[in-house]
Amino acid sequence: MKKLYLTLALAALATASQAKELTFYLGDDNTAIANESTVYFDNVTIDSYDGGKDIVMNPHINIISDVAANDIILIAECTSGQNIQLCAGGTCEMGKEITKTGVTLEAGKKLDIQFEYMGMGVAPDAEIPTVESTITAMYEGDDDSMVTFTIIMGEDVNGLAVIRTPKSLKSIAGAIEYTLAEPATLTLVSTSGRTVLNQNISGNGSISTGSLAPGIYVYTLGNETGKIYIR
Amino acid sequence: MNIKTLIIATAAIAPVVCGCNDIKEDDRYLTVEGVTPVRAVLIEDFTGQNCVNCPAAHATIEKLVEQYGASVIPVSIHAGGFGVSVSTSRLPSYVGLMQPEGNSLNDKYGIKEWPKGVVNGHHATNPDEWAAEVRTELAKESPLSIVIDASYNAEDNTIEVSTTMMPAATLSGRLNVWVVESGIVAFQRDITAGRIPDYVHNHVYRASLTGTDGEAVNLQQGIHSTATHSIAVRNSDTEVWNPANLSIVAFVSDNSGVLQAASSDVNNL
Repeated sequence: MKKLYLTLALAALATASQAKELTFYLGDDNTAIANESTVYFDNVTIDSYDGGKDIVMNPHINIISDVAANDIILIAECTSGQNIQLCAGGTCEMGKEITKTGVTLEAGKKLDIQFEYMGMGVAPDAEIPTVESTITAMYEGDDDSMVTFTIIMGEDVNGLAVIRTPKSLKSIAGAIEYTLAEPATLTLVSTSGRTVLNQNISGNGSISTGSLAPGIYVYTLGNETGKIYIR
Repeated sequence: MNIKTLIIATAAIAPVVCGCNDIKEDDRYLTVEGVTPVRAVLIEDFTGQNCVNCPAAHATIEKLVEQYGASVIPVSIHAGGFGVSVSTSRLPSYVGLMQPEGNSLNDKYGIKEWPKGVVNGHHATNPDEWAAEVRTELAKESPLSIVIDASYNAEDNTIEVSTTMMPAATLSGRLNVWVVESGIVAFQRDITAGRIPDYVHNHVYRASLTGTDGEAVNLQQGIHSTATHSIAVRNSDTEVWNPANLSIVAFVSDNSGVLQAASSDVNNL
Protein backbone atom coordinates (compact mmCIF):
# COMPACT_ATOMS: atom_id res chain seq x y z
CA MET A 1 0.00 0.00 0.00
CA LYS A 2 2.86 2.41 0.86
CA LYS A 3 4.37 1.68 -2.53
CA LEU A 4 1.04 2.50 -4.18
CA TYR A 5 0.74 5.78 -2.30
CA LEU A 6 4.31 6.70 -3.23
CA THR A 7 3.66 5.91 -6.88
CA LEU A 8 0.51 8.01 -6.88
CA ALA A 9 2.30 10.88 -5.13
CA LEU A 10 5.13 10.83 -7.63
CA ALA A 11 2.67 10.81 -10.53
CA ALA A 12 0.81 13.79 -9.06
CA LEU A 13 4.06 15.66 -8.55
CA ALA A 14 5.11 14.99 -12.15
CA THR A 15 1.80 16.32 -13.44
CA ALA A 16 1.95 19.42 -11.28
CA SER A 17 5.46 20.22 -12.35
CA GLN A 18 4.67 19.82 -16.07
CA ALA A 19 5.45 23.12 -17.84
CA LYS A 20 2.49 24.85 -19.52
CA GLU A 21 2.99 24.86 -23.25
CA LEU A 22 1.49 26.79 -26.10
CA THR A 23 1.70 25.64 -29.71
CA PHE A 24 0.66 27.39 -32.89
CA TYR A 25 -0.72 25.46 -35.84
CA LEU A 26 -1.05 26.46 -39.44
CA GLY A 27 -4.17 25.80 -41.46
CA ASP A 28 -6.66 23.05 -40.91
CA ASP A 29 -4.15 20.24 -40.64
CA ASN A 30 -1.87 19.46 -37.75
CA THR A 31 1.22 21.25 -38.98
CA ALA A 32 2.77 22.67 -35.84
CA ILE A 33 4.71 25.88 -36.21
CA ALA A 34 8.12 25.70 -34.61
CA ASN A 35 9.02 28.44 -32.19
CA GLU A 36 10.90 31.33 -33.87
CA SER A 37 10.34 29.89 -37.34
CA THR A 38 9.04 31.61 -40.47
CA VAL A 39 5.90 30.52 -42.28
CA TYR A 40 4.77 31.45 -45.78
CA PHE A 41 1.17 31.71 -46.96
CA ASP A 42 0.11 32.38 -50.55
CA ASN A 43 -3.60 31.47 -50.60
CA VAL A 44 -4.89 34.96 -51.35
CA THR A 45 -8.65 35.36 -51.78
CA ILE A 46 -9.73 38.09 -54.16
CA ASP A 47 -13.38 39.09 -54.55
CA SER A 48 -13.81 41.39 -57.52
CA TYR A 49 -16.87 43.51 -58.23
CA ASP A 50 -17.76 46.61 -60.18
CA GLY A 51 -15.14 49.22 -59.48
CA GLY A 52 -13.12 47.39 -56.84
CA LYS A 53 -11.98 44.26 -55.12
CA ASP A 54 -11.47 42.80 -51.66
CA ILE A 55 -8.19 41.07 -50.80
CA VAL A 56 -8.20 38.62 -47.92
CA MET A 57 -5.33 36.53 -46.58
CA ASN A 58 -6.51 34.19 -43.85
CA PRO A 59 -3.96 31.53 -42.91
CA HIS A 60 -6.19 29.99 -40.22
CA ILE A 61 -3.67 30.11 -37.43
CA ASN A 62 -4.75 28.01 -34.46
CA ILE A 63 -3.32 27.86 -30.96
CA ILE A 64 -3.42 25.07 -28.40
CA SER A 65 -2.59 25.08 -24.71
CA ASP A 66 -1.87 21.79 -23.02
CA VAL A 67 -3.61 23.10 -19.90
CA ALA A 68 -6.81 25.09 -19.47
CA ALA A 69 -6.00 28.77 -19.16
CA ASN A 70 -7.78 32.09 -19.22
CA ASP A 71 -4.76 34.36 -19.03
CA ILE A 72 -3.18 33.96 -22.43
CA ILE A 73 -1.76 37.00 -24.18
CA LEU A 74 -1.76 37.12 -27.97
CA ILE A 75 0.19 39.73 -29.89
CA ALA A 76 0.12 40.25 -33.65
CA GLU A 77 2.40 42.85 -35.19
CA CYS A 78 2.50 43.63 -38.89
CA THR A 79 6.15 44.52 -39.48
CA SER A 80 5.52 45.43 -43.13
CA GLY A 81 3.20 48.23 -42.05
CA GLN A 82 -0.27 47.09 -43.08
CA ASN A 83 -3.31 46.77 -40.84
CA ILE A 84 -4.12 43.25 -39.75
CA GLN A 85 -6.99 41.76 -37.81
CA LEU A 86 -6.97 39.64 -34.65
CA CYS A 87 -10.14 38.33 -32.96
CA ALA A 88 -9.24 35.14 -31.05
CA GLY A 89 -12.87 34.13 -30.81
CA GLY A 90 -14.09 37.37 -29.32
CA THR A 91 -14.17 40.97 -30.38
CA CYS A 92 -12.05 41.81 -33.39
CA GLU A 93 -9.39 44.47 -33.47
CA MET A 94 -7.64 45.97 -36.43
CA GLY A 95 -4.30 47.71 -36.51
CA LYS A 96 -0.58 47.38 -37.09
CA GLU A 97 -0.02 45.92 -33.65
CA ILE A 98 -2.74 44.21 -31.66
CA THR A 99 -2.55 42.73 -28.18
CA LYS A 100 -5.36 40.61 -26.80
CA THR A 101 -5.25 39.66 -23.14
CA GLY A 102 -7.29 37.22 -21.11
CA VAL A 103 -7.68 34.80 -24.01
CA THR A 104 -9.25 31.57 -22.78
CA LEU A 105 -8.24 28.13 -24.00
CA GLU A 106 -9.54 24.70 -23.04
CA ALA A 107 -6.82 22.12 -22.50
CA GLY A 108 -5.87 20.49 -25.77
CA LYS A 109 -8.52 22.27 -27.85
CA LYS A 110 -7.53 24.42 -30.83
CA LEU A 111 -8.66 28.00 -31.04
CA ASP A 112 -8.56 29.83 -34.36
CA ILE A 113 -6.94 33.13 -33.45
CA GLN A 114 -8.69 34.72 -36.44
CA PHE A 115 -5.61 36.47 -37.68
CA GLU A 116 -5.89 37.85 -41.18
CA TYR A 117 -5.06 40.65 -43.57
CA MET A 118 -7.96 42.40 -45.30
CA GLY A 119 -7.61 44.93 -48.08
CA MET A 120 -11.24 45.82 -48.65
CA GLY A 121 -12.71 47.96 -51.37
CA VAL A 122 -9.37 48.59 -53.10
CA ALA A 123 -9.03 49.63 -56.70
CA PRO A 124 -9.35 46.85 -59.30
CA ASP A 125 -5.72 47.24 -60.33
CA ALA A 126 -4.35 47.50 -56.79
CA GLU A 127 -1.29 45.33 -56.22
CA ILE A 128 -1.50 42.37 -53.90
CA PRO A 129 0.77 43.30 -51.03
CA THR A 130 3.28 41.10 -49.23
CA VAL A 131 2.33 41.19 -45.58
CA GLU A 132 4.87 40.21 -42.95
CA SER A 133 3.81 39.78 -39.34
CA THR A 134 5.03 38.29 -36.11
CA ILE A 135 2.62 36.45 -33.86
CA THR A 136 3.42 35.82 -30.21
CA ALA A 137 1.63 34.06 -27.39
CA MET A 138 2.39 33.53 -23.74
CA TYR A 139 0.73 32.85 -20.43
CA GLU A 140 0.46 36.12 -18.57
CA GLY A 141 3.36 36.61 -16.20
CA ASP A 142 5.29 33.62 -17.60
CA ASP A 143 7.89 34.94 -20.01
CA ASP A 144 9.42 31.49 -20.39
CA SER A 145 6.22 30.26 -22.00
CA MET A 146 6.50 32.69 -24.90
CA VAL A 147 6.22 31.24 -28.40
CA THR A 148 6.54 33.34 -31.53
CA PHE A 149 6.82 33.01 -35.27
CA THR A 150 6.89 35.14 -38.40
CA ILE A 151 4.34 34.76 -41.16
CA ILE A 152 4.79 36.19 -44.63
CA MET A 153 1.65 36.33 -46.76
CA GLY A 154 1.18 37.28 -50.38
CA GLU A 155 0.93 35.99 -53.92
CA ASP A 156 4.62 35.37 -54.55
CA VAL A 157 5.69 33.66 -51.37
CA ASN A 158 6.05 30.18 -52.82
CA GLY A 159 3.41 28.14 -51.17
CA LEU A 160 2.10 27.17 -47.81
CA ALA A 161 4.96 25.71 -45.85
CA VAL A 162 6.47 25.64 -42.46
CA ILE A 163 10.05 26.73 -42.81
CA ARG A 164 12.25 25.85 -39.91
CA THR A 165 14.73 28.67 -40.27
CA PRO A 166 17.96 27.33 -38.86
CA LYS A 167 19.02 29.04 -35.70
CA SER A 168 22.42 29.52 -37.30
CA LEU A 169 21.02 32.04 -39.79
CA LYS A 170 19.03 35.17 -39.07
CA SER A 171 17.81 37.54 -41.75
CA ILE A 172 17.75 41.18 -40.69
CA ALA A 173 17.40 44.35 -42.70
CA GLY A 174 20.28 44.41 -45.18
CA ALA A 175 22.18 41.41 -43.83
CA ILE A 176 22.21 37.78 -42.75
CA GLU A 177 23.74 37.11 -39.34
CA TYR A 178 25.20 33.66 -38.76
CA THR A 179 26.48 31.55 -35.90
CA LEU A 180 28.16 28.32 -36.97
CA ALA A 181 29.83 25.53 -35.05
CA GLU A 182 31.70 24.46 -38.20
CA PRO A 183 32.64 26.24 -41.43
CA ALA A 184 30.12 25.89 -44.28
CA THR A 185 29.28 27.34 -47.67
CA LEU A 186 26.22 29.59 -47.82
CA THR A 187 24.48 29.83 -51.17
CA LEU A 188 21.44 31.94 -52.03
CA VAL A 189 19.42 31.33 -55.18
CA SER A 190 16.65 33.66 -56.32
CA THR A 191 13.21 32.43 -57.37
CA SER A 192 14.32 32.90 -60.99
CA GLY A 193 17.12 30.40 -60.45
CA ARG A 194 20.01 32.85 -60.34
CA THR A 195 22.73 32.26 -57.75
CA VAL A 196 23.13 35.60 -55.97
CA LEU A 197 25.44 34.57 -53.14
CA ASN A 198 28.02 31.84 -52.72
CA GLN A 199 30.32 32.35 -49.76
CA ASN A 200 32.30 30.31 -47.25
CA ILE A 201 31.45 31.34 -43.70
CA SER A 202 32.49 30.22 -40.22
CA GLY A 203 32.05 31.20 -36.59
CA ASN A 204 29.96 34.31 -35.89
CA GLY A 205 29.45 37.12 -38.36
CA SER A 206 27.19 38.73 -40.93
CA ILE A 207 26.93 38.98 -44.68
CA SER A 208 25.54 42.06 -46.37
CA THR A 209 22.38 41.50 -48.43
CA GLY A 210 21.83 45.20 -49.16
CA SER A 211 22.33 44.67 -52.88
CA LEU A 212 19.65 41.98 -53.03
CA ALA A 213 15.99 42.67 -53.71
CA PRO A 214 13.77 41.85 -50.72
CA GLY A 215 11.96 38.57 -51.13
CA ILE A 216 12.20 34.80 -50.88
CA TYR A 217 15.45 33.03 -51.68
CA VAL A 218 16.43 29.37 -51.50
CA TYR A 219 19.45 28.92 -49.26
CA THR A 220 21.90 26.07 -48.92
CA LEU A 221 24.09 25.96 -45.84
CA GLY A 222 26.33 22.90 -45.82
CA ASN A 223 23.95 19.94 -46.16
CA GLU A 224 20.89 21.92 -45.20
CA THR A 225 18.57 23.70 -47.62
CA GLY A 226 15.46 25.78 -47.21
CA LYS A 227 13.96 29.20 -47.85
CA ILE A 228 14.86 32.48 -46.29
CA TYR A 229 13.23 35.90 -46.54
CA ILE A 230 15.71 38.64 -47.35
CA ARG A 231 14.76 42.07 -46.02
CA MET B 1 -61.59 56.64 -24.91
CA ASN B 2 -58.79 56.26 -22.34
CA ILE B 3 -56.30 58.96 -21.43
CA LYS B 4 -53.49 57.45 -23.47
CA THR B 5 -55.55 57.33 -26.66
CA LEU B 6 -56.71 60.87 -26.04
CA ILE B 7 -53.14 62.02 -25.70
CA ILE B 8 -52.03 60.19 -28.84
CA ALA B 9 -55.04 61.43 -30.80
CA THR B 10 -54.52 64.96 -29.59
CA ALA B 11 -50.84 64.81 -30.43
CA ALA B 12 -51.72 63.57 -33.92
CA ILE B 13 -54.34 66.26 -34.53
CA ALA B 14 -52.35 69.15 -33.11
CA PRO B 15 -49.88 69.45 -36.03
CA VAL B 16 -52.76 69.71 -38.52
CA VAL B 17 -54.61 72.30 -36.48
CA CYS B 18 -51.56 74.33 -35.67
CA GLY B 19 -49.45 73.83 -38.84
CA CYS B 20 -46.68 73.27 -36.31
CA ASN B 21 -43.68 72.03 -38.31
CA ASP B 22 -41.60 74.97 -37.17
CA ILE B 23 -42.90 75.35 -33.64
CA LYS B 24 -40.27 74.64 -31.02
CA GLU B 25 -40.79 71.64 -28.76
CA ASP B 26 -41.40 73.65 -25.61
CA ASP B 27 -44.23 75.60 -27.26
CA ARG B 28 -46.50 72.57 -27.53
CA TYR B 29 -47.84 70.85 -24.44
CA LEU B 30 -50.78 69.12 -22.85
CA THR B 31 -51.26 68.30 -19.20
CA VAL B 32 -51.14 64.60 -18.36
CA GLU B 33 -52.44 62.92 -15.25
CA GLY B 34 -51.51 59.48 -13.94
CA VAL B 35 -49.33 58.18 -16.83
CA THR B 36 -47.33 55.09 -15.87
CA PRO B 37 -44.37 54.82 -18.24
CA VAL B 38 -43.50 51.35 -19.51
CA ARG B 39 -39.75 50.92 -19.92
CA ALA B 40 -38.16 50.09 -23.28
CA VAL B 41 -34.42 49.45 -23.56
CA LEU B 42 -32.12 50.77 -26.30
CA ILE B 43 -29.27 48.58 -27.55
CA GLU B 44 -26.68 50.25 -29.74
CA ASP B 45 -24.89 47.42 -31.54
CA PHE B 46 -21.56 48.69 -32.90
CA THR B 47 -20.80 46.51 -35.87
CA GLY B 48 -19.15 46.31 -39.29
CA GLN B 49 -19.58 44.48 -42.57
CA ASN B 50 -16.01 43.17 -42.40
CA CYS B 51 -16.30 42.05 -38.79
CA VAL B 52 -16.39 38.25 -38.92
CA ASN B 53 -17.77 37.82 -35.40
CA CYS B 54 -20.48 40.44 -35.83
CA PRO B 55 -23.16 38.17 -37.35
CA ALA B 56 -23.15 36.22 -34.10
CA ALA B 57 -23.85 39.49 -32.28
CA HIS B 58 -26.67 40.24 -34.71
CA ALA B 59 -28.15 36.86 -33.82
CA THR B 60 -27.95 37.78 -30.13
CA ILE B 61 -29.88 40.96 -30.87
CA GLU B 62 -32.58 39.05 -32.75
CA LYS B 63 -32.97 36.63 -29.85
CA LEU B 64 -33.49 39.54 -27.48
CA VAL B 65 -36.06 41.09 -29.82
CA GLU B 66 -37.82 37.75 -30.07
CA GLN B 67 -37.87 37.45 -26.30
CA TYR B 68 -38.84 40.97 -25.35
CA GLY B 69 -40.58 42.34 -28.45
CA ALA B 70 -41.03 46.10 -28.50
CA SER B 71 -39.40 46.42 -25.08
CA VAL B 72 -36.00 46.04 -26.75
CA ILE B 73 -35.06 48.59 -29.39
CA PRO B 74 -31.87 47.72 -31.29
CA VAL B 75 -29.88 49.99 -33.57
CA SER B 76 -26.94 48.60 -35.56
CA ILE B 77 -24.35 51.32 -35.89
CA HIS B 78 -21.69 50.49 -38.46
CA ALA B 79 -18.40 51.96 -37.31
CA GLY B 80 -14.68 51.50 -36.92
CA GLY B 81 -12.07 49.62 -38.89
CA PHE B 82 -14.46 46.88 -39.98
CA GLY B 83 -17.12 49.28 -41.20
CA VAL B 84 -17.62 49.99 -44.88
CA SER B 85 -18.28 53.64 -45.54
CA VAL B 86 -21.48 54.46 -47.37
CA SER B 87 -19.43 56.82 -49.55
CA THR B 88 -17.53 53.86 -51.01
CA SER B 89 -20.72 52.18 -52.18
CA ARG B 90 -20.95 51.24 -55.83
CA LEU B 91 -24.61 50.36 -56.09
CA PRO B 92 -25.98 47.85 -56.52
CA SER B 93 -22.98 45.51 -56.34
CA TYR B 94 -21.15 47.05 -53.40
CA VAL B 95 -23.17 48.53 -50.56
CA GLY B 96 -21.55 50.29 -47.61
CA LEU B 97 -23.53 50.93 -44.44
CA MET B 98 -21.24 53.08 -42.29
CA GLN B 99 -22.51 56.64 -41.95
CA PRO B 100 -20.08 59.49 -41.23
CA GLU B 101 -21.48 59.92 -37.72
CA GLY B 102 -21.10 56.20 -36.98
CA ASN B 103 -17.55 56.74 -35.81
CA SER B 104 -18.56 59.72 -33.66
CA LEU B 105 -21.12 57.58 -31.91
CA ASN B 106 -18.58 54.76 -31.62
CA ASP B 107 -15.84 56.98 -30.24
CA LYS B 108 -18.18 58.40 -27.60
CA TYR B 109 -17.88 55.02 -25.86
CA GLY B 110 -14.20 54.51 -26.66
CA ILE B 111 -14.87 51.36 -28.67
CA LYS B 112 -11.82 49.92 -30.37
CA GLU B 113 -12.94 46.34 -31.03
CA TRP B 114 -16.09 44.90 -32.48
CA PRO B 115 -18.72 43.72 -31.97
CA LYS B 116 -19.53 45.78 -28.91
CA GLY B 117 -22.89 46.92 -27.62
CA VAL B 118 -24.14 49.68 -25.37
CA VAL B 119 -27.32 48.98 -23.42
CA ASN B 120 -29.24 52.11 -22.44
CA GLY B 121 -26.27 54.36 -22.96
CA HIS B 122 -24.11 52.97 -20.18
CA HIS B 123 -20.83 51.46 -21.38
CA ALA B 124 -19.61 49.14 -24.11
CA THR B 125 -19.95 45.45 -23.39
CA ASN B 126 -19.61 42.13 -25.18
CA PRO B 127 -22.60 40.37 -26.71
CA ASP B 128 -22.65 37.68 -24.03
CA GLU B 129 -23.40 40.38 -21.45
CA TRP B 130 -26.35 41.99 -23.24
CA ALA B 131 -29.10 39.66 -22.04
CA ALA B 132 -28.33 40.28 -18.38
CA GLU B 133 -28.01 44.00 -18.94
CA VAL B 134 -31.35 44.15 -20.73
CA ARG B 135 -33.03 42.29 -17.88
CA THR B 136 -31.55 44.74 -15.37
CA GLU B 137 -32.63 47.78 -17.35
CA LEU B 138 -36.15 46.49 -17.99
CA ALA B 139 -36.63 46.14 -14.24
CA LYS B 140 -36.03 49.85 -13.73
CA GLU B 141 -38.81 52.39 -13.76
CA SER B 142 -38.79 55.08 -16.37
CA PRO B 143 -39.71 58.72 -15.66
CA LEU B 144 -41.36 59.29 -19.01
CA SER B 145 -43.17 57.78 -21.99
CA ILE B 146 -42.39 58.53 -25.60
CA VAL B 147 -44.78 58.23 -28.51
CA ILE B 148 -43.64 58.62 -32.10
CA ASP B 149 -45.74 59.46 -35.10
CA ALA B 150 -43.76 59.12 -38.34
CA SER B 151 -45.09 59.33 -41.87
CA TYR B 152 -43.65 59.34 -45.35
CA ASN B 153 -44.65 62.14 -47.66
CA ALA B 154 -44.29 60.82 -51.19
CA GLU B 155 -44.85 64.24 -52.75
CA ASP B 156 -41.62 65.67 -51.48
CA ASN B 157 -39.96 62.38 -50.53
CA THR B 158 -39.59 63.27 -46.87
CA ILE B 159 -40.31 61.67 -43.53
CA GLU B 160 -42.10 63.79 -40.99
CA VAL B 161 -41.68 62.82 -37.38
CA SER B 162 -43.54 63.94 -34.31
CA THR B 163 -42.04 62.79 -30.98
CA THR B 164 -44.19 63.29 -27.91
CA MET B 165 -42.59 63.02 -24.50
CA MET B 166 -44.86 62.46 -21.47
CA PRO B 167 -42.88 62.88 -18.25
CA ALA B 168 -43.99 61.47 -14.92
CA ALA B 169 -41.31 63.58 -13.26
CA THR B 170 -39.57 66.86 -13.99
CA LEU B 171 -36.37 66.14 -15.82
CA SER B 172 -33.75 67.53 -18.17
CA GLY B 173 -31.93 65.52 -20.78
CA ARG B 174 -31.27 65.14 -24.47
CA LEU B 175 -33.62 63.85 -27.14
CA ASN B 176 -32.21 61.79 -29.98
CA VAL B 177 -34.34 60.88 -33.00
CA TRP B 178 -32.81 58.47 -35.50
CA VAL B 179 -33.81 56.93 -38.82
CA VAL B 180 -33.27 53.17 -38.88
CA GLU B 181 -33.73 50.75 -41.77
CA SER B 182 -34.19 46.99 -41.86
CA GLY B 183 -34.10 44.51 -44.69
CA ILE B 184 -31.02 45.98 -46.35
CA VAL B 185 -29.29 43.41 -48.56
CA ALA B 186 -25.54 43.95 -48.53
CA PHE B 187 -22.45 41.86 -48.00
CA GLN B 188 -21.27 40.76 -44.59
CA ARG B 189 -18.28 38.69 -43.63
CA ASP B 190 -18.78 35.82 -41.22
CA ILE B 191 -16.37 33.56 -39.37
CA THR B 192 -17.76 30.34 -40.82
CA ALA B 193 -19.56 31.40 -43.99
CA GLY B 194 -16.91 33.78 -45.30
CA ARG B 195 -18.16 36.63 -47.45
CA ILE B 196 -21.96 36.53 -47.63
CA PRO B 197 -22.97 38.74 -50.58
CA ASP B 198 -26.72 38.84 -49.82
CA TYR B 199 -26.82 39.18 -46.05
CA VAL B 200 -29.92 40.92 -44.70
CA HIS B 201 -29.00 43.76 -42.37
CA ASN B 202 -31.61 44.91 -39.87
CA HIS B 203 -32.01 47.89 -37.56
CA VAL B 204 -29.27 49.79 -39.41
CA TYR B 205 -28.63 53.38 -38.31
CA ARG B 206 -29.17 55.64 -41.33
CA ALA B 207 -29.34 59.19 -40.00
CA SER B 208 -30.06 61.43 -37.05
CA LEU B 209 -32.71 64.15 -37.07
CA THR B 210 -31.18 65.68 -33.92
CA GLY B 211 -27.43 65.73 -34.63
CA THR B 212 -24.91 63.39 -33.03
CA ASP B 213 -25.45 64.76 -29.53
CA GLY B 214 -29.24 65.12 -29.60
CA GLU B 215 -31.26 68.15 -28.58
CA ALA B 216 -31.68 69.49 -25.05
CA VAL B 217 -35.10 68.90 -23.50
CA ASN B 218 -36.48 70.26 -20.23
CA LEU B 219 -39.66 68.46 -19.25
CA GLN B 220 -42.10 69.35 -16.49
CA GLN B 221 -43.88 66.64 -14.56
CA GLY B 222 -47.29 65.94 -16.02
CA ILE B 223 -46.82 68.21 -19.02
CA HIS B 224 -46.14 66.47 -22.27
CA SER B 225 -44.05 68.03 -24.96
CA THR B 226 -43.77 67.34 -28.69
CA ALA B 227 -40.78 67.79 -30.96
CA THR B 228 -41.14 67.72 -34.73
CA HIS B 229 -38.54 67.00 -37.36
CA SER B 230 -38.36 66.05 -40.99
CA ILE B 231 -35.73 64.51 -43.24
CA ALA B 232 -35.42 63.79 -46.93
CA VAL B 233 -35.39 60.12 -47.88
CA ARG B 234 -31.98 59.46 -49.45
CA ASN B 235 -31.77 58.20 -53.00
CA SER B 236 -28.32 58.66 -54.51
CA ASP B 237 -25.53 56.77 -56.22
CA THR B 238 -24.18 55.61 -52.87
CA GLU B 239 -27.24 55.30 -50.65
CA VAL B 240 -30.83 54.34 -51.28
CA TRP B 241 -33.42 54.14 -48.51
CA ASN B 242 -36.59 52.10 -48.86
CA PRO B 243 -39.39 54.03 -47.10
CA ALA B 244 -41.32 50.82 -46.53
CA ASN B 245 -38.46 49.47 -44.39
CA LEU B 246 -37.75 52.60 -42.37
CA SER B 247 -38.53 53.17 -38.73
CA ILE B 248 -37.83 55.93 -36.25
CA VAL B 249 -36.08 55.41 -32.93
CA ALA B 250 -36.30 58.12 -30.29
CA PHE B 251 -34.75 58.18 -26.87
CA VAL B 252 -34.22 60.62 -24.03
CA SER B 253 -31.06 60.35 -21.98
CA ASP B 254 -29.21 62.17 -19.26
CA ASN B 255 -25.96 61.58 -17.43
CA SER B 256 -27.37 58.41 -15.90
CA GLY B 257 -28.09 56.83 -19.29
CA VAL B 258 -31.14 56.35 -21.46
CA LEU B 259 -34.29 57.20 -19.53
CA GLN B 260 -36.70 55.92 -22.14
CA ALA B 261 -36.70 54.75 -25.74
CA ALA B 262 -39.38 54.20 -28.35
CA SER B 263 -39.65 53.02 -31.91
CA SER B 264 -42.22 53.38 -34.65
CA ASP B 265 -42.44 52.24 -38.24
CA VAL B 266 -42.71 54.97 -40.82
CA ASN B 267 -46.25 55.02 -42.07
CA ASN B 268 -46.54 55.42 -45.80
CA LEU B 269 -49.11 57.86 -47.10
